[in-house]
Amino acid sequence: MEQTPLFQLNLMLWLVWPVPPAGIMRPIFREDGFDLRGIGPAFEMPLEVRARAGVAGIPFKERPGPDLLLEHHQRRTLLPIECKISSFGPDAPPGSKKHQSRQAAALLSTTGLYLADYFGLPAPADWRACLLYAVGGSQEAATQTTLEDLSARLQTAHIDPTLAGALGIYIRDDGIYLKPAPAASVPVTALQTPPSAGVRVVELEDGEDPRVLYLLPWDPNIGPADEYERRALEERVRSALTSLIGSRLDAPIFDVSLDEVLQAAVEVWEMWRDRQAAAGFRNAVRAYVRRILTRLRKMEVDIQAHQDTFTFTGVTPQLARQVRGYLTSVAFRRGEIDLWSEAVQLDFSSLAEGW
Amino acid sequence: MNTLHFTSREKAFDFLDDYASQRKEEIDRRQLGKGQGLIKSYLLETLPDNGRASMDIPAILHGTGWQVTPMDGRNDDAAFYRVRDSKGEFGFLEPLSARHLAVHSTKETVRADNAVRSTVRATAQLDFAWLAGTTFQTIWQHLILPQMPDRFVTLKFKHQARFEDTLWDERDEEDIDDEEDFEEPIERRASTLAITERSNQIARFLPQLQTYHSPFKAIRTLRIPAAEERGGYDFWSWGKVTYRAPTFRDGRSQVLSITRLYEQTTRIIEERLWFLGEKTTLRDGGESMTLTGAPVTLTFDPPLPLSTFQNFITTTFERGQGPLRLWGNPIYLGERKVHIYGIDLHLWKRIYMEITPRRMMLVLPQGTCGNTVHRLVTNVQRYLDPAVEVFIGDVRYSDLVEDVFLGRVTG
Repeated sequence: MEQTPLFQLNLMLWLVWPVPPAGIMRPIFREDGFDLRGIGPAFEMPLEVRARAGVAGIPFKERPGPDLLLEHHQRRTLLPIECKISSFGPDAPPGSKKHQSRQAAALLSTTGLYLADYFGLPAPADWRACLLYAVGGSQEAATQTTLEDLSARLQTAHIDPTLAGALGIYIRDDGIYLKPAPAASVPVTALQTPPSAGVRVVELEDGEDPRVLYLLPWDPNIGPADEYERRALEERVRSALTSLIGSRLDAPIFDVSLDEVLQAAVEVWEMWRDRQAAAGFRNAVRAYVRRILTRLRKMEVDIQAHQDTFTFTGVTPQLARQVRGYLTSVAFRRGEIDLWSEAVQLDFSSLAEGW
Repeated sequence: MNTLHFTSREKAFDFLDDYASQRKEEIDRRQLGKGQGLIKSYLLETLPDNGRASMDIPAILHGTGWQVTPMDGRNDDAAFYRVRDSKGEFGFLEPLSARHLAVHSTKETVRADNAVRSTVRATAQLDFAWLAGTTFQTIWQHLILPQMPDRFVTLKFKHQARFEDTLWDERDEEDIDDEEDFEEPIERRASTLAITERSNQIARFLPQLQTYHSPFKAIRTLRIPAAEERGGYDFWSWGKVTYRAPTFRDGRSQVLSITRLYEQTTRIIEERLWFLGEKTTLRDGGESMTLTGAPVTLTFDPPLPLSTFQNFITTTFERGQGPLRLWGNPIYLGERKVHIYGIDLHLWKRIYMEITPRRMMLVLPQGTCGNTVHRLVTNVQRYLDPAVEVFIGDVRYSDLVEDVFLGRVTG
């Protein structure tokens, strides 16, 4: 399979989770004492740092946010992690606001002291940071070169760069490996003296698909990159709606809201709910919910919609059995979920209007 | 039994004590009267309590067809209810905690088992309390063997390699009695055995049996001897308890102990496993989110045969049959790996699964009952792999049960 940003992100998440010792996964961050501090935590850069970068002509993002932020409380170490498929150069084309080098320069300028103070950690002066770029296999050397180049430019601009290292993600027949770039300095024990092939973090059988179970099925900034990611998100939406309705049918009156469906489908929905990029997804899920509720109404279920909340009333045990029968039917399970077409993404009708 | 005669919990207990004593005498004389059921308790679980002090019994039973009437005029944890179903008087129901309840009945086995099973199936509010072979093994090793070495103990083992076949018969799930089990002439592995022997004798051969033939790890029933009385109480893997001793109160006391063990284990499992996004507010008023939780991992060593793995996926998900009652669309990643973002149909809660011939990895979103783990372990041991190793995050399930039983962890 081709690596995708979401695959890389989910792989990194699994490496912070507790799993059986000597199992098929080796959570190298977890075993070294790192915990997950945040997903996509954005923070504003200090004014003087922005000014110095500006004067030196270094492309710079004012409010960067790494994909993940890990924390080692005992060692007072913060590990911002960025996941990228490919390497990138240090120069952003003129006018390009989104070039990776802007984010990289800003993250390189983020010291442990600044991050710890920003997040309100105790004794911020004791903290250090190390920026980690996890990139597709064979891209780590070029990425490391870019990080070193940007670090040198920052020093010239009187900005102290933080430690940084690039890590290649290699998918081989027998497993997924992480291999630091030769000059990388990474404060993770397993990665400090790795075998020449890298550290195997997931064991695979010959021919096994390397995808891990997706803890995070979606990122509004990148969207699904392949068929698996589309299917995974569709099934998360389907199971969220099924669970919310199916588990409440024993009460004669109950509500289910669109926000509950979204929150159940994507556990970190709250973080993204107000973003413009999430609006299309919200509209598409609303259209799907409306379609299913229309089907339930044909079964004589009394459902009233108000804004994005729908109220089921007069649910009898017999009706509950019927609805559950439908929700477990092949027709429902196999029913199409369109979260991607323009027609549903641009559908702004409320549930009430949509009846 | 006409439960209308009883006006208090105490009087009901007195009646049940007398009833247990009479039945035990009949058992000893081998003259158990026809239609005279032994006392049975069914330990049931409802949804996580969300901090509530007591359970709302009428709301939980809404839609099940059971009618309950409180005794003593109480409607709280100390309440005791008479239960009627469509066939008349059924027995008593008592909340044991904010999350568990017991139903006591003297009806004969088939009538009582069917009534409880159909009630549990009729609602998303109830599930059985599932006692896996691992749990029985802990009770056996740390209570029965050291404390009652000379007592007679009964262990029943049952493993049916049902997924070696493509067919599933719903009757396979019914666990009424050996003589009533459906036998069909299909060739696949099955092991059913009952041992009644003194504890210290069983201790001599059980470890070897389990080493040589793993179905001896799939304990279906364990009889915990009654204290200072002949007989004991048969605890079944699906939460049923059959009283084969002369007192009801002693048996109920054992039920309460097992409930405490079960409840605490379940709570710790949920604390460790629940997958959720947690929001943190930052200094500038911004927000960050993190994900907490851990997977349940079931490992199969040796791996399941490919045909067994595929039959399991097809039966459970494509046909919606089998004992696990899981639902979802398998996303196939080759012939040896599937991902399912699905539902546990007992309580209609979400569950995410990666399944291969070597393992199952499960992620339980917040709100999904820890009971799901006990049910999976119990049924996987019975139908798929009796030697399955189970981890809650990085902790062995058997170690967790043992630690809770011996008070080494609190939850």
